[in-house]
Amino acid sequence: MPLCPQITNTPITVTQTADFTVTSVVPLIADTSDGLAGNLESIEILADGKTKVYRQAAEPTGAGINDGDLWIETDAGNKLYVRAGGVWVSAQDAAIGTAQSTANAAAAAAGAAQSTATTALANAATAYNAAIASLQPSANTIVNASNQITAINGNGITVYSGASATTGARVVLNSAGLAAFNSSNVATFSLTASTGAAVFSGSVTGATITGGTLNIAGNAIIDGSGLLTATGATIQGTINANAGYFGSASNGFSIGATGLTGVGTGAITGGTIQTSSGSNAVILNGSSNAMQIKANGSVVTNMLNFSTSGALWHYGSSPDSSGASYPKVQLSSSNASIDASSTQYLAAGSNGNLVVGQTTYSGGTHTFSNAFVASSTATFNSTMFAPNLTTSTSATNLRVATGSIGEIQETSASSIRFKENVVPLSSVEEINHNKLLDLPVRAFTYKEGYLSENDDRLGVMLPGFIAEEVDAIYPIAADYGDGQVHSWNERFIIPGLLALIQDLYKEVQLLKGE
Amino acid sequence: MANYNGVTAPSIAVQFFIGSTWTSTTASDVLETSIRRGRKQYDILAQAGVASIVFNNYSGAYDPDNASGPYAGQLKAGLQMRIVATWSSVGYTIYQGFLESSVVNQGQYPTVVMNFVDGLGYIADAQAPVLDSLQFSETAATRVGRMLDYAGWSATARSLTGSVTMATTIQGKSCLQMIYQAVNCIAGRFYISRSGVATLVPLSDKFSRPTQLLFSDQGDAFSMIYRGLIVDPGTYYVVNQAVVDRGALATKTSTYNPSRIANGLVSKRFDAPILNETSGANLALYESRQQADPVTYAKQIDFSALSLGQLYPDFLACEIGDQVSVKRLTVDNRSLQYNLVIEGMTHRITSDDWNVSFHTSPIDPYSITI
Repeated sequence: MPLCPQITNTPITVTQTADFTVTSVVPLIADTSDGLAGNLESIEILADGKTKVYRQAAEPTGAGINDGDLWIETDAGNKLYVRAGGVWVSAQDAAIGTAQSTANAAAAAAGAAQSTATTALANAATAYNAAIASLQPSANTIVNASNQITAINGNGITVYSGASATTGARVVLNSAGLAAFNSSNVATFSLTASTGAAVFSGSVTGATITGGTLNIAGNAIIDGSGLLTATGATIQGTINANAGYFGSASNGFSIGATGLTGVGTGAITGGTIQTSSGSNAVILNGSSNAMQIKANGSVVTNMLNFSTSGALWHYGSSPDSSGASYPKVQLSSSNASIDASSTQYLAAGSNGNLVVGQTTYSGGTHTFSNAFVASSTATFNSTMFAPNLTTSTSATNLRVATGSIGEIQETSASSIRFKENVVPLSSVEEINHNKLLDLPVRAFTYKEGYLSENDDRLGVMLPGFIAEEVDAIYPIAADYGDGQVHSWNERFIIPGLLALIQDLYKEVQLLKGE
Repeated sequence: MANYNGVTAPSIAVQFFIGSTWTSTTASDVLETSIRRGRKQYDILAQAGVASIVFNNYSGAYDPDNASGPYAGQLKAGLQMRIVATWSSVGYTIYQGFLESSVVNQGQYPTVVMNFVDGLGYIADAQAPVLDSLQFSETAATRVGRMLDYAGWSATARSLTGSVTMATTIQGKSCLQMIYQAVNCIAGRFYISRSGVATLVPLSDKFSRPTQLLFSDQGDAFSMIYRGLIVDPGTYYVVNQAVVDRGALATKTSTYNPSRIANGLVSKRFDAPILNETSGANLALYESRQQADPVTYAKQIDFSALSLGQLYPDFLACEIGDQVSVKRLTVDNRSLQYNLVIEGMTHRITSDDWNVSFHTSPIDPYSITI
């Protein structure tokens, strides 16, 4: 489009009014350029000197009349004569007389028919007047067979069946548009001529709306392209879907009779998804990127991101990504924990440590604020630390048994409450303490790899016994593990040693004479 | 000195159609170019568009007798030529025609003046042969197409619109006379476009043409300055009685009486063999009304086509039938505006200036269905 302002040339339609004089003239001779006049001239030349034609009332007389000339008697119905033998001989076609008779008969029949038609016309006029009187009781009203009245007045055309054209149930049509009113004089629908606006107070049923925009109270708008804009709209009841798609057939969601199915990279983003509107539900909360569990009407747990790199599941009514809401389950790149509070928790680190209630961790040492309790068998595949156990003179000893390697058991107690068959040691031959006198006392080092690298006695000569020798000489003090001799037990050596000391003490006293 | 470099002002190329290819002549050889298209006043039939080009012939290239020149054997009557103005890398053909004559000056400053005529002159030479009988009840567009066929006009260089049915004819006239019968029947316009397309448009075309240019002495946005303005009171062009001559069919005569009373009877005959009687009457009504009132208008606008800047595309695209507007502030402080239709145009392009004149008619708002 050119840059300059555009002129608007508005058409004015020319119509034939009283200002115009229009005439139509049929030319006597067609366009001479087409050669017709020339042809006529040739015909005239050819006719000159040949047969003459007389068109007149009186009989042609005088010289120049030849046999073969024609006379048309203009006052006798153009009767045709031919000059023959010096006189005019009628050349009237006999068929003309026949045709005249036929025409006269037809004229008579037509007169009778006209009379009949005139009578019928008069009857029709009478019937018409009666019908008009019935149909139009007054100047501006028309009544139909159902006694519905159409009024034509300054308001336009009004169809009504009540008492008035201006009150009660009626339909009004005028230049402003079309409107209907109920018996209470309330408008039920209207169509505005100037704008095309339509207002209905009742239901629109069985209609197909093509093009334009459907706007439902501003809450749901569907435009001509199918775009649905919902503002505060609520869907209730059941939406039946069959082979539709959100997105596309390859990426999005297919909608079928069984529900919504993901297709390709279809994804639901944002918003809130909940499994039930009742008091118990699982909720995917898009605004906080959390999964929430609602129990008994309230949100009780939240599963969401922990800071920027982990996952968190905590108790509470709202999501808290700081990790400061307890109890919680927390996952990060290096550890996982179950926390009842900031100091009451169980944590598993990527270094293999299982930490209970850790409050500090320094120099490879964990400090526990609570005891580790196993309700059944607990297995440790590495060192178990309990460096800060409290001490007590009456505390039950803790031992590592050899029956199953590494098994931790309470040492058997010594109270008489647990014992019977109590006799002097020397009275039982197989555990007589004198056998200990044959037990070799050895020095040795532990083989490489057996002790912990942190052990103070690693590679150092140590005093002790050999368990196999103990088993051979004083088998009650030998402990077995995994079906073979594993160690010796000082709890069953010491009583024998004390008995030997007591015997020596008595001999010394005897030798001293005391 | 104008600088026709395509940046300061459009570059101008004169091209010959040789061997199915448009070949540009040497730009510096073109000393002067004069073009006239359309008609000078709107009550006459369109005139054939002519162009005259003065070539510097020191090289002898433009001498039609030079057997060794670059155009040897080509500079004969009928050689197609076009003039292309290029602005912002877009080429606009502003004239296309056929060589009619060459004037060779062999003096001290040898020049060759080549004269060209556009398609109207080409078509005017052709005759529509007399037929054995009246034939061809056809639309105006079909009849014009047949006439162009008689004239040997290219089937691809035509744009014909006109649905009014014409009466049968025995022909025997020049093709151009036959074409103007068709133009009269549709109250339309026939012209050869600036790019050489034979164009027939109906009455309704005048309501769809763009306004190409605004001339103003008040500095309006996107306006051009005019050098001269010839204003006509329009009384000379009054027609208040139209006699539509339909040949062998009834002649339709319409008189618009208010104008007849005010201006006296001014009758004009329209050779329009239109078949339908009502259409003939409507044509008479329209032709007796559309020029019934004298309208003051700008008859001719003279201006320079140098330094138009961003308006060059609109100027170069101007076509016969397009609209232009003129604003004028009189010395006694009256603001006048003339809305006009381009009926014809002349260009004179020299190394110093590019003078253009638009010949115009007042915009006519009247319409009718024929």
